[in-house]
Amino acid sequence: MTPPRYTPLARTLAAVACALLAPLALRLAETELAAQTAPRPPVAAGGVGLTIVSPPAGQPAFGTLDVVVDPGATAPRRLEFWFNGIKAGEVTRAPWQLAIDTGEENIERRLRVVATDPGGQRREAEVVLPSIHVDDELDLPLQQLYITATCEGRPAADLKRRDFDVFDMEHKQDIVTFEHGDIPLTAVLLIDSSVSMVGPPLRAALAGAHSFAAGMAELDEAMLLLFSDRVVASTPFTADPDRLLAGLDGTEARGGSAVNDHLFLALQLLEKRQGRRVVILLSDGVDVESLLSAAQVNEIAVRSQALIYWIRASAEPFDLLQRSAWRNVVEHSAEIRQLAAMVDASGGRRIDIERYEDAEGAFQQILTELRQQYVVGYYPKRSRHDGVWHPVRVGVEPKGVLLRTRDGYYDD
Amino acid sequence: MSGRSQCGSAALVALCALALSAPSVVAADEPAAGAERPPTAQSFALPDPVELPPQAQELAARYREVFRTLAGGDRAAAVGRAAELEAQALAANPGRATEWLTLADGSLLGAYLQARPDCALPLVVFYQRLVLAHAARGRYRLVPRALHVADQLLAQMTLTATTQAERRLTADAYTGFAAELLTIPAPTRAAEMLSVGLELAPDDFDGNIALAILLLRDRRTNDAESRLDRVLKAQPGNREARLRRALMRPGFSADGRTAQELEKLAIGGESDWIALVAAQERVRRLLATGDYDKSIAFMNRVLERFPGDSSLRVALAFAAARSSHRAEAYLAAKTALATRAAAGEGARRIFAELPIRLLQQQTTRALSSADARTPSLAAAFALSPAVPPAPAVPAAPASPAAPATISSAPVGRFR
Repeated sequence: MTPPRYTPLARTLAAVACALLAPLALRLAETELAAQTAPRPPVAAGGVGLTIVSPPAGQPAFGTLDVVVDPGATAPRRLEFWFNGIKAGEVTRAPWQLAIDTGEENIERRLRVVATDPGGQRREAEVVLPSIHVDDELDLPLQQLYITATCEGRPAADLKRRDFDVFDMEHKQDIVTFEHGDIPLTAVLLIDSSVSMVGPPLRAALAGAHSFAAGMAELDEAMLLLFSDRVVASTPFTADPDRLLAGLDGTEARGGSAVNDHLFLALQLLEKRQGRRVVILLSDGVDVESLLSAAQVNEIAVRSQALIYWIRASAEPFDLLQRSAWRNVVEHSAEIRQLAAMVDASGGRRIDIERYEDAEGAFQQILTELRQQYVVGYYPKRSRHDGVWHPVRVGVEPKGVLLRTRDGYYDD
Repeated sequence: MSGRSQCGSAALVALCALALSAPSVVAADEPAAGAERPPTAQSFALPDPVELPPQAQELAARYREVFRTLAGGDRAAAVGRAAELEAQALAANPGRATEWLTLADGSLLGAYLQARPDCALPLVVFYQRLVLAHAARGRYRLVPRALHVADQLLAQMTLTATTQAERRLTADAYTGFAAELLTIPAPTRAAEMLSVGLELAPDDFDGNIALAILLLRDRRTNDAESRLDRVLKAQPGNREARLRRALMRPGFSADGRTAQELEKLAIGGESDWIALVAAQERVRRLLATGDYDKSIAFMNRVLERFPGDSSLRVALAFAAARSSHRAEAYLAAKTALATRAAAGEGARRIFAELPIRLLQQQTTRALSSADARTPSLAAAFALSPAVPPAPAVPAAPASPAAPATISSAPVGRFR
């Protein structure tokens, strides 16, 4: 196999992409893309006449797909849509179609529809949308570090590229991109809305979220996710602070608290966003109802490379005697410590507040900090995509400047 | 006089004696931070009374008005007045209020019960409500005394319950009181009450499950297991008992029987909170094994039953993400965001909460029976003197009808 060649064009493209804060991994094809169109005919199993009209089988497709189905002579009672083994939704009346966001990855997509007729009989049809075959490809995984620099408690704002040294697996790296200041960000504001937040606490938290959005720059976006043991409310990503809180009038806090589940959900929602990704969690951090453990969420958090901030609405020590039907005291303590460790490892930080009225100030502190961050990018010299953990260390001159950034990444 | 009434009279004497003795006092299970704390155990010498001291007489006169209101059918107003009366007495003389209050209402209660033994139940419910009223106001120093009187009235009912119907009624009173204690919350004390109630009505399956939940909270795993096993022996199909028993098995992540039981509960039967908890717990254990394909297959099955459960969709997104199906993970996450669960408590919260829900039926029965017996209280009230003398203390109460000390009462400490 011919070793990959790093062309000047590739380097240029990479630099441009970095400057625009394009995807973390830049995938460049060195040979002409050749879409393999090995069409598979639509399958109609278990019934007659059920056909997926669109998208056509055998054609690669990406993003949001309008899946259109001809149910045949019998109108079904219910039509389920499945995407790669996961149910995407269902419709119970015409038009027999559904928009499914299938993502931008170059993967094979299987769309299956299952019709349940009024008599209970089931009919199925499936189309396969193949991936685009690439003869040879070269991965240039740009690693970006979001670095908070402080000197005597205040932001260190005048550092230059030459002041930083980046070590990846203890090997010094060449810094290829360097930014400072208003770098666009996308944030999920994750607010605990369990029963302990009823009334003024929830209002104070929402006011803090609004102030954060009001302070965002033009290219920044945020969404609000209110959670308890379920999704209580959410708003779409927006740059408009008023839209961020639109429709939340009358939203009531209720139920238990599933911090881990919803932190994972927030990270997942950021998965497709470009550039600097931030989760700001406002919660006491005591998780009672989650199905996921903090350790499981951490596996995702490390790979997402999002910055996680935690406004901890509690003055209690971590070892407080919390227990529930699901976890004993030791397990609760371990969970909350794991959450704190996850926050630190992400390059974010925890801000403890004793009163919910202080939430707005905490949101402002985080926004100010994000405004002052440095972004340093480099191509790891020993990247092998072998899933190995790469510890990262950043040094800085002058002395006395403290840096905070994530402590490594998996070379997936 | 029949043998039964003789026995009842002896019990009445004992009751009055116990009502006169100061309760050993302990705190509510989890009193609010900063709330007034109950005093530590105290004792005082019983007077050798023929007549009440003036302070107790004055209080007895005021209690009599409270009982007049109660006999008139307005329990809430009676409880409110008694709560204020006792709070004022305590504020006026913190050192001796408990003694005088006990002398005052003890004298009246003895007279009422002697006149109409069947008026005990409305009085039990009254004192139970008084306990809650004091606890709700943070007056923890007054809680133990009211609790103690309720205890003794219940003990009196137990002693005189000779028919199956009376035993069931007494059991309901205990169970109903347990349910109310859980609202304070005082789960240890509630478990003790429930335990006594279940001795009178062992076939109360919901009560047994409730007690198992409380025992497990108290880390009495073996006792909790045997309670659930008792239910399952009589009702093998009891779904809540099956779920709780399955989740109690040690090493359940590797236990095939537990997995099988959880899957049966999740997929079969009603689509209720029990099925949802079973599904969630099965998912949690599957994810812990790292078998994401199996997790996804199982989740797709249970999501057919629970399409609005966001926790299952989040777990589905996690399984997809961990098996490197990024697009599918994103789709599942978006779907989780769009789900809107039904109103009401989540399934895991219902599973974990104190079992007040399981005791509602008994509580309702006890209340309606108390209401039905209010006319007996009215009759007793009419037959009794305005302020009777305090009863003498029995010299050596040792018979079964006259428990000698508080510790011999069917219930113990109030924590």
